[in-house]
Order: sequence, then structure tokens, then C-alpha cells
Amino acid sequence: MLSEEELQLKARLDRVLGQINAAPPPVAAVLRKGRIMRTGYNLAISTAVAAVSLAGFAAVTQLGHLHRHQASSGEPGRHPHWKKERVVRLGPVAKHGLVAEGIETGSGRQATWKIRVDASHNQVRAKVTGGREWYIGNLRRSVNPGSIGTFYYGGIEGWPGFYAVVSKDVTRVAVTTKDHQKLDLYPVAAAGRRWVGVLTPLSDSVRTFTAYSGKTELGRVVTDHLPVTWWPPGQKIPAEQNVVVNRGRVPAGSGHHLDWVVSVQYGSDGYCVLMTGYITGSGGFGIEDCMSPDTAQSAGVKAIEHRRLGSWLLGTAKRSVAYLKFDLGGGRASRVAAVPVSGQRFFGLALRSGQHVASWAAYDKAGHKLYGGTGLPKIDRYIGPLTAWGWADNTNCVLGQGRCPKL
Amino acid sequence: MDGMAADEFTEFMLSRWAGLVRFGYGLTGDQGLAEDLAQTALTRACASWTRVRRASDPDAYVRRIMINSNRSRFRGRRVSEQLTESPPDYPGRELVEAPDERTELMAALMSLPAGQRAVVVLRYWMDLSEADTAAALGCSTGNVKSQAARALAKLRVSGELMNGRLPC
Repeated sequence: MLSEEELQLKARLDRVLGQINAAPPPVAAVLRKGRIMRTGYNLAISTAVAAVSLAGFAAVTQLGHLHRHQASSGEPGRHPHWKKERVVRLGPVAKHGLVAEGIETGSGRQATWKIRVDASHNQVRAKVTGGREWYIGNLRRSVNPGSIGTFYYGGIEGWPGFYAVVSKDVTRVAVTTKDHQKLDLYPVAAAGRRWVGVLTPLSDSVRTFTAYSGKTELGRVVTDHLPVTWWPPGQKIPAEQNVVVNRGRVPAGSGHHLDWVVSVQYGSDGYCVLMTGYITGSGGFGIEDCMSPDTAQSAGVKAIEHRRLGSWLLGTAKRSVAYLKFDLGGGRASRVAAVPVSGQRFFGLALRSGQHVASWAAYDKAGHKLYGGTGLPKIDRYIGPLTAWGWADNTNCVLGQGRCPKL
Repeated sequence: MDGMAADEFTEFMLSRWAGLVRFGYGLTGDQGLAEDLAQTALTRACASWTRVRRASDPDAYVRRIMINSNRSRFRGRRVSEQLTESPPDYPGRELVEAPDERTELMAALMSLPAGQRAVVVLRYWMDLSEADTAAALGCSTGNVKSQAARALAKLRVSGELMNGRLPC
């Protein structure tokens, strides 16, 4: 039985906490990270490389099941079953910032989704009939640096989706969904860029995007995740490969240790570098970053995670590189293999807390130095956790800019 | 995780998300951290969903992860960094109504040690019994009682609450 005082405190807590509006639940991100964590558990439990490979294979297989089932999750009575998706063809120039609109019908109901750019607030926003309008992206940062199109997550609560900024050559983007529906997106100009976007109900999701200039195909994307890789017309989408690039163990205090594994998955998403760590008696963490083969070709660090126990550098090397040497100061050095994955070389390196790279160099098979430098290799991206033991939010920034941390 | 389990987890997440973020807000006083905590907890639950779904109370499991993650947040403060150039600007992130009450109450809550704050949120906001609160925190009911009494005493004399509605 609560006292009067306690009841008043409860009423105040109800009022204040009850009015907190949460952002859309990041269902896709959580499912994806959950998969990474499961992979980490599996990898940590296994004691041999063969066992690790099997566990990784099992995890990848599980992921495939998960995505397939997630995509077809519309069990009657559990999620509304939308039968027909339609995209509204808008004018070439946006009115009131509206860049994409679609209508879903099914089970005696209809819903309309809209994506619009709000230049005055520097936002890209989306809403579905009857719901509130959500922030889905930063307008200034939604750019397309020289590609057919660059995609951004655009989903809102219960409605996964993407929006993209496309090049001036693109006149149409054909979409197929896992429900075998076909949609055509026509770019709409707004805020000095050309946009396409699509939301789908939770029971369906986009499977492919194909960009056209008139009747000429420019490229296509086949994905379960955020699309990053445009495959040229006629090019066969590669079969999934999973290669362990490096692994190791670092002390984690109190008699515990952290087992880490860097692997690369090559497939329809391009190259995805994955780092998982598992701390004995505690839990796991991991990061994943996908890139197109073009991006992977430029040598340098593609993702870095910085944690209390150390930092992990995940990077690519030129194809002629066999290994890299990192001078860690104080007479200590680390040599890591540049492992080929479908012709592209990858490396993964753990720096213990307090270790710094004084210089580095890349060598060919014969031991000839090919290139190198002082300090860290060129770092493209930082991916780090908001809290030391929580999961990474996969918030990216370019080192040296804005509020990115220094190593 | 098979398809049925993925569906189940998705439904679980959709139905619990807002409540977990509010719970996280009560623990941290920061919506970004609250969402991060909720995401951390749900990710771990997702990774072990086949086990969690068999638990008698999956909600208690997720709450426990959030509480532990929040404790760990303080241990890992040295590398806690906000990485975005500007924070995500979700609409409605800031309260429109009753900002004074929120400011007062959250300032008072944040002045409490993390353990007492967790007791206040679990016991008085989530309406958990002393036994359930103790289970969520991994301590005894006696400890919950003493923590709650200390928290109330601090809130009673808290400067932030002197102008508030909590009677002395």
C-alpha cells in the first residue's frame, strides 16, 4: 500500500514519463544486431577454426531464414495484411516538399504513406495515414556523391523503407518486393536534388531496385539491408561467402578476456565487414559495415570501433598486398595478413587500450614494401558505441570532422 | 531464430518499445540514452530470444538488462561519446507540455544515486511490488525498502522539489 506521498510521486512520474515520445522502434537494426550477437556467441564458444566456420555458416543460414520469415511475417490477425501496393506518380518537381507517396490496400483498409523534404528544418520526414510525421533523415547529409543513387533508411514505425538521392541520369527506379509486387519510382526534384523513396508494410519489404535512364538499365541493387552496391547490367550477383580475416583475444579485467573475430561477407550487398566480440561471463558486441566493391578498392580503414578495452581497425588493402605491419611504438609491432575475399584484400587489427600506431606499411608476398605511412592508415569511417558496454548505434562520422572523437 | 520467433520478437519489440524508452528515460534523464538502453536490451533479448520467450516474464528480463546496462554506462563513461555532428532531431523529442514539472522532477531524480533512482522508477512508476523490484535489481526486499525510503527522504528535501508538488 503506497502512502499519500508515494502516490503523488507516482502521479508525477506518470505525467512526465507518459509524455515521452519515443522515436520509431528500430526493429530492423535490432534484428540485425541480434544476429551479429548470436554470431559472436557462436564464434566465441567454438574453439577451432573449423567450428567457427560452421557456426558462421549456421548464423548466416539462420539470418537468411530470419530475413525471409521477417519479410513474410504478415500472419493473419497479427499484422494487417496489405495485398496491393501502389506508388503515386508525382510531378518532376516536388510540391510542398512531397517527394514520394504510395497507397497500400488490403483487408478492407487503405493506408497512404508520404515522404517529404522539409528544407526549413533540414529534415526528411515520413508519415502514414493516421499516424504522426516522423523524422527519417538529415536533409543536408542526404547526398549522392557520384553514384547512380545513394540510399538512406527511411522506415517509420511498422513501415520499413528507404529513400534515395539519385543522379540526374536516372529517370525511373523499378522496385520489386518480396511479395513479388512491382513498383515504379520516378525521381522528384526538391532542395536541389532528385529523390525517390518507398515504404512498405512490415509484412513485405523491398528486394531489388533497378535504375533506368530512359529504357537503358544503369544498375541494380539486391538487398536485405540498406542498399549500398549497384551491380552493372548483366553482372551476376555473387553467391554469399563468409571469410574470417583475423581473430584474437585481449584481457578484459577481473580474469575475463574478450575473444574477437573479424570476418567479411561478400554477396549481394557487396562487402560487409563484421567484427564481433564476446566477453567471457558478460556478453557480446559487434559492428557491421557494408560497402560496394568500388569503395572497397580504395585502401584504408573502412570502419573502426573504439571501446574501453581497445580499438579495432577494419580495412582494405590493395590487391597486391600480402600483409601489413603496424609499429605500435616501444619496440612493439603487429603483423596482420591481408586476406583475399573475392579478389579484394581485407585486414582486421585490434589495438589494446593505450596502444597507438606510430607507423605502418603494406608488403607484397615477397616482402617488398608497397606503401605505408606514419600514424594510422587513412580512416574512412568511425563506428562506435554510445556506451562502452552497450551496443553500437552504428552512428557514423568522418574522423576529424564535427564531433568525431580522436583516437 | 525461426520465422515464428522473429515474428514474435518483432511484436514484442513493437509493443514494448515506447514503455522501455520511458523506463530508460526515468533511469537516465536523457532520451537518446534511453533509446540506446532500450535498443541494447532488446538486441540482447533478440540474440537469446529462444531462451527469453521461455522465461516466465520476458519483460523482467529486458528490464534487468536495461538496469545492468545503465550501471555499466557509468563504468564506461571514459569512452562515452556522442558521435553525430548533430543529434537526431526526432519530432516530439522534447516535451511540449509541462516542461517545468519535467525539469524539476528529472533534476530531482538525477540527483539520486543510480540504484535509488531505479528503485523509484520501478516501484512508483512501473508499480512493481517490492519483491519484483528486488528481483529486477538483484537485491533483497529489505534493500528495496531502505533504498526507497532514502530516495523519498532525498526527494523530500531536494531543492528541485521544494517548489514542486511533493509535500514534505
